[in-house]
Amino acid sequence: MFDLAQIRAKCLKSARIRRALIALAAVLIVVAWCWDVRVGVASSLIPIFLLMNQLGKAKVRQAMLTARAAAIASRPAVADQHLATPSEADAETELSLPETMLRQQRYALLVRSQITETLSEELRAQSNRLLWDRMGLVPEGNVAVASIFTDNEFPPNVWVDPVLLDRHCVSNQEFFEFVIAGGYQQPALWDAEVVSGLLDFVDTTGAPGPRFWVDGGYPHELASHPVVGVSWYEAAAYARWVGKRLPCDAEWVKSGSWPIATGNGSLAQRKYPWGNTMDRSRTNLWGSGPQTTVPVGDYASGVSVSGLYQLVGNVWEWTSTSFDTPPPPRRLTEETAPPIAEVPMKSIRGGAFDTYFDAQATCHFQSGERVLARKHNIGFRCALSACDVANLFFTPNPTPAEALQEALA
Amino acid sequence: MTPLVTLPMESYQLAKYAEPVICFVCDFENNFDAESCRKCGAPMALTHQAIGHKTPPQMITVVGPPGAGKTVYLGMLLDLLARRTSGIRALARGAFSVSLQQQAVESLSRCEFPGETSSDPDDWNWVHCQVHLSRRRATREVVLADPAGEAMLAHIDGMVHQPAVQALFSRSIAALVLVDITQVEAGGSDAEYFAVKALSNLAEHHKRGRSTWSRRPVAVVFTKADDCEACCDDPAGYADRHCSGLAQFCRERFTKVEFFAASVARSTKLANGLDVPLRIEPRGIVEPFEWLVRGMKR
Repeated sequence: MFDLAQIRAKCLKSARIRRALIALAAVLIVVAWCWDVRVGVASSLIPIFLLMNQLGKAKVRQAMLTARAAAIASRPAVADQHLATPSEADAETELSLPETMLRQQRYALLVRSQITETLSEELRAQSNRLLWDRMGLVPEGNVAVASIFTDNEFPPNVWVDPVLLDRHCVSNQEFFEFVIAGGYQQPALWDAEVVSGLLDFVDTTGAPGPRFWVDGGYPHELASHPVVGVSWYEAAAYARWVGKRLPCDAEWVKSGSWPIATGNGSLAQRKYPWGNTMDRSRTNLWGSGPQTTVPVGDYASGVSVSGLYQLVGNVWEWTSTSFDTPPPPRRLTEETAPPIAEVPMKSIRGGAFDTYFDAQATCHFQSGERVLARKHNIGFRCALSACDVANLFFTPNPTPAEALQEALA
Repeated sequence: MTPLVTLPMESYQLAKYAEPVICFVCDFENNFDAESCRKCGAPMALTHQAIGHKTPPQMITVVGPPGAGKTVYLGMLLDLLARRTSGIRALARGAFSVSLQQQAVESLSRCEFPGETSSDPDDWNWVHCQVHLSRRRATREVVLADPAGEAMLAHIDGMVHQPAVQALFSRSIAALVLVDITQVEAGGSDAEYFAVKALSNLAEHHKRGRSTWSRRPVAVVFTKADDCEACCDDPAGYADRHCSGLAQFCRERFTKVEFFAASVARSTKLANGLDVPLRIEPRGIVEPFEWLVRGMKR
């Protein structure tokens, strides 16, 4: 297996030797000049060493390219460093199917009632632990969901059943698992209407994958960044593959705004996941971040009540709600007519690193995008209905005392 | 019976009236207390400020047909430059200079595009700003105008003589030509023809002067490029492929010409035909202006 670090070290070593040779040559030229040796001799050395320098650079570049290609080819199929080390990945053939699924972050399939009863106690515990590590619970209740086409002063209340949402947006590393597992070649994962268009979902080199990837892989430094350049269909297919789904508008808004029913029946909702005042140090927006995506675990101070990261900022997030759904008739006026898009649009939420106005990076602001668009600033996170989890608060063999303590808690 | 009142002659006031104030934009003589130029409609505050500086401000003309996005582009440009802390920055001079920025930003934050600029020059927005380049002490006084596309179109077509447009073209030392990319993508040639006509009109000015338009910087900006990655990646190549007439004309007539792509908002069209900005994501807004300012002679 290629060791990228070792190859880099070798390249650096050869570069150091080359630089030393060039320096020596420069000293020789100066000495020759001082000793009044023919200028022609000295000057003839210059292009030779320049050529050496260029050749050296070309060699280093070639070596780096080869190493990079080899690294991509031999990249361990892991979604998480602490779940599977390269040595474990090598022994993939020895893993059972549930273990492989856990390594691929498809634990949501293992916590379903149909599956979980067939698993060993250890696997059940592991999948349940992963579920809680990776997802946050949004309790049931009403939430006021504002839309760009409705009167935002009095948004309608929508009931939401308990749901789990990913704590982080799906990263490049996680999406890579889907790609190498042949996700783009499995029609069953995709909406029927888009199967014929799957060949269009390619990267910069024509390989299946997100739009900005190269050779079917992501740039090494962007492993933990949110995957972008994916259409709504790609997001939905990934969600199906891991046994989840995309959240609907109401679920997404509820997870961030965390509504609390007040005495008079109205809802007190947060504007931002951390409160009602914009704090640009807690989110990656225009003017507050590096003007590009950041790793999905950054900005820990901006988490929501249920521990979801970056609901606001970094990337917009696809939801399953149609953007062109007409608002209730009483709100429909000539000025708020629904959009007419050639391609259907889906609602996106949360704002991105290049969102300019604070007012457009709140838990309530809604925007939309065409389902086939593969934008540089739209990613997604997945959801799982709590009713789909067999035993949401599963603990392996709890003692009666532990069970009582947990029930009381 | 009204008693006769003798008023003393305020000679110093008469002296003020005797000395005309020459409009900075069109060189027309106005009274000292005029609010806007009687000929071109430019605010006289602009002239009063220009008089107060050692070096007169330099004017950049913004050319584009109705709906090309001049108001949105300029408003967002000024807001971006005002909020910057490094690189090229701009500070507005005079309250009238903030109006355009305020109008555009307020509308966009409400997910609306600003209304169409009136053809009456009195209603146009004018901006006088001090531009700080990244180098220390390198500043420029720049005047920008947001003329109505209709008025510009009528003047360029020769149907109506617009002194304000004429004066803008004569006074400017750099031009920003906006081309609506959605029209180009839809297969229409109107946007390209307008740009060629405007540039042709510009090139006719100052033929006898030492500095002619052929040596002045011209930035061609494809606006509303949020949905056209090909244009964002390589605007010059896009111009060659989709607006070959415009590209060829620019390269033949102007030595300093550059193509850019810019977008302010991701928008969609409603059933009633209204364009709505879905979200504001400025992209490629500052680059054309910076290129122009750096290319302008002092």
